[in-house]
Amino acid sequence: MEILFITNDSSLKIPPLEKDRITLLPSNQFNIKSAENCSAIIIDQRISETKNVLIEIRQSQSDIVALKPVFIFSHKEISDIEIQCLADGRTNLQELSEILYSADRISKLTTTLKELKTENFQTLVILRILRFLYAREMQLKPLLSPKYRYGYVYPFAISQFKDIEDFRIYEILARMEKEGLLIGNFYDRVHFCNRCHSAFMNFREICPSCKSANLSVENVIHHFRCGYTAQESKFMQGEQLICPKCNSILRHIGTDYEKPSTIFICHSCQETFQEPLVECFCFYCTNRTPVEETVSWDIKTYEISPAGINCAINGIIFSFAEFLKTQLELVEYDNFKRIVEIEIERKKRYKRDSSIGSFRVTNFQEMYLMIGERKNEIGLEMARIIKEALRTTDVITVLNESTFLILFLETPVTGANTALSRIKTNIEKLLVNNISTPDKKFLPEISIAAVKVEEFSLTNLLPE
Amino acid sequence: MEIYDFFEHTKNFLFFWKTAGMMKIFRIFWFFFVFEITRYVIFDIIVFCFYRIKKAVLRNRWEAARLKLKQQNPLVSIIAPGKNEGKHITSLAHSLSEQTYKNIEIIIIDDGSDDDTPQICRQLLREGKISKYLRNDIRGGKASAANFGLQQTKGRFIIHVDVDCSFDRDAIENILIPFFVDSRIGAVSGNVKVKNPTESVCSALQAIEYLKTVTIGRLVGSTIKTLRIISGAFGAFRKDILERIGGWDIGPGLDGDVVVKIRKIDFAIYMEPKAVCYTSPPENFKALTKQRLRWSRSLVRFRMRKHRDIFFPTANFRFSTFLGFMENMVYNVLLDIKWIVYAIDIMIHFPSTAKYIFPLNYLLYTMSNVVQFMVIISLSERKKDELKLAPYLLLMPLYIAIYMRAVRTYAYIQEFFFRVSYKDPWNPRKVSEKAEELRI
Repeated sequence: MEILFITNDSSLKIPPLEKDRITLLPSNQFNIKSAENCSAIIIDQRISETKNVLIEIRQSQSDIVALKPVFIFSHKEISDIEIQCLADGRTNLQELSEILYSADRISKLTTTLKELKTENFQTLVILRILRFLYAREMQLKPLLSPKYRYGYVYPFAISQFKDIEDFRIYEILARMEKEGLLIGNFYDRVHFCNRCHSAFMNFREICPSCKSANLSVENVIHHFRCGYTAQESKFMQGEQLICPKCNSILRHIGTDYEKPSTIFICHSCQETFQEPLVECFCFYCTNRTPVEETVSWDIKTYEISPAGINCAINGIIFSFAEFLKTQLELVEYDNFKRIVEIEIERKKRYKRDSSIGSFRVTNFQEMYLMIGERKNEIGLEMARIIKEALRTTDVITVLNESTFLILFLETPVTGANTALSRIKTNIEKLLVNNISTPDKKFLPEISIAAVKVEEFSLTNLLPE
Repeated sequence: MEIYDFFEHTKNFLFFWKTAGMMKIFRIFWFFFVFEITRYVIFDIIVFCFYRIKKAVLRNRWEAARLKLKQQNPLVSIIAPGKNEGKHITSLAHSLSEQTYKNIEIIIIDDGSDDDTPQICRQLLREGKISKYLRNDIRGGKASAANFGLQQTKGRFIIHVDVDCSFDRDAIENILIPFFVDSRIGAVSGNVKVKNPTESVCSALQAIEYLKTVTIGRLVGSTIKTLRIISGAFGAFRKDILERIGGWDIGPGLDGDVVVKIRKIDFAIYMEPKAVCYTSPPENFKALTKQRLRWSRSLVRFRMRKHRDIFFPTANFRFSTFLGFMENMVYNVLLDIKWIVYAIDIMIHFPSTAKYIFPLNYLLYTMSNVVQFMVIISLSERKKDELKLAPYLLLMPLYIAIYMRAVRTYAYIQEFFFRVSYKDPWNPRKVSEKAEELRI
């Protein structure tokens, strides 16, 4: 393995390696072309251009370069969060051999990827992220950083934008999850400024009247004897609590008086209130906004899904669910449920049988991994098979990437089962014949079920 | 046969009273002629006529006061203390938002509710339908809640309302005008009427009672300057005066108590019949009895004990206040006892003629009620609606003379001899214990 070591320290004594060769390169001689022919790169953290070199690599036009394994040569932990995000890890002379295995693996997986040709920036970013995760077999885990506007940064992903603080990365990751390319797991919830998306906001209680934050909170005192009830300061006379109404000394809580609540006092407008507003003040753009108007965002860790792996390998973004949505004129699941409710009511009145069926490819992950470049073709054929088995009045929705629900209007359960069986048989044939490779035969696992419309529930249809 | 019997009885009845002569009638019904008809019919009609004439003469002054109110447009704070009144709060806020007088702040004081009051109030606050929502997590009683609310007000005038009330559109405007007519007026009572009066017999009877005692009774008291109570359901106060008297003292009976305190510092109390408020009365006789026992006990506790100085020529002595108190004592306490004496007198002296006395007595009281009712209707802004209550007038003697007298008498005995008001759960235990300990 050819390793490029960018350093200005000519006195470095690299220990001899068995199979790998390390070439030292002064930082001033580095250009992106020099990165193309190596399998991995090590950058000496002591050079002033470390970060720039990393960004240049990760933003390279070429996938091969951008996805290269890059390590930082340092004896200490990397403290710079940006460098942490862009590099694959840290190494030093003693630990050099430890990184070689992973560098080799990344390098090999990267070289098998088909070169992507797209003009669309978002598509490019999506594929880069998928390929980065695929080649490293890692999770995309957000890193906490007070230096960054959003509080969390995603390693590698942020390097794909000119401005490292581009909010689009959050939107792109969310979209990738929605399209089934990534599997997201909740990590944290943050509130972003609704103007600049900064997460650095000061949450503070303010006066509902003049919006000042100059507030204090006091206990309310209820004097049992005369019923006088007011804030504590009205009772305070030196060290003693004296009722301003009847001049009695309040000696004993529970016997003479109680503190039934608290009250806020605004020192700007003298307003009193018990429930202050909570406002967010953005440290970046000085925007002031009520808490409920901030952008609440779930920060997630992401792992690549089988569909994502398929996209990473073949360089094509594809989702069966999305594809079939347009081909079969699928309705949204919420609308589907509403239609089912209407049908249940209609059935009560007209006593006609309708039923609901489910169709599910249980090993769809395997299918995604094997489907390759013929996905459009196979998708079209699947849509044709489904269309042929259904009537124009039947309503179909997609529950997730592998599960479809069909409302068979005025069709008993036996009729629905017949149609579902026909779909199952034809799709099985289609997939076996078209997805299998000479090395591996794909055996689709398709489950179908049908129930009366009034018995519709996901647990009835999809018990597992 | 039955019709024949009825006619026969009627004939005997008429014959008996025809032969009895006026002296005997007066002897038997002296109670009615001396106390009832004189006070509640003749006196009320005279005062009522005087009120109408005075109002007509001073019409321009009232119009000027209305103009002054609109020019000055002072902030008015409406405080509504209550516990577990969630179901009424939205309609209260809605009713207040419809007012012709707009410069108001509405403050709801939640006295430790455990229903949906907090959620409803927070929603109303978000919608801007109320100005402030205050909550004491621990119940402190009505006086405590009202005083807490008073502390947080910014208005020049304070209007105390009950949460279960709703108001005519011009009620707030009308209740404020008297303050601009006479600067000696410290508080104004609204005209409290019963909501949905024909829903049950109990509501209908209370509706007539309110018309008699609030609409006419308080109007008369106000005109002769002896008004001694402002209903907590709808009363307006000058804030400076409320602050001078330290707000509300612990109840029950705090509505009357606050008026006495205002009178003691020599401010007048007025009743404005055009400031109409509708309240939800107790729905059945059990709840009504409980309410009236509480009210009647407070008469003993506050008028006869706490403010007994009213009866003596002390620094706080005011003749009008004394007169109002005396009238209250005589008609509510003494005549209750007198009524028992009267019943014994009849049983001893006219035992065989009771079958003729009771129907005539009933007839006389009904006629007296009819006359009073006609006066009320002449003043009413809803003549047609209130006329629907007319059939219930037939039951009023039973309601007032028997039911109410019995309840009142029982309450006076309870309070005189057993100080039951200190055990009334209407106040939190801790407050009642303190009041009992201090004998206040």
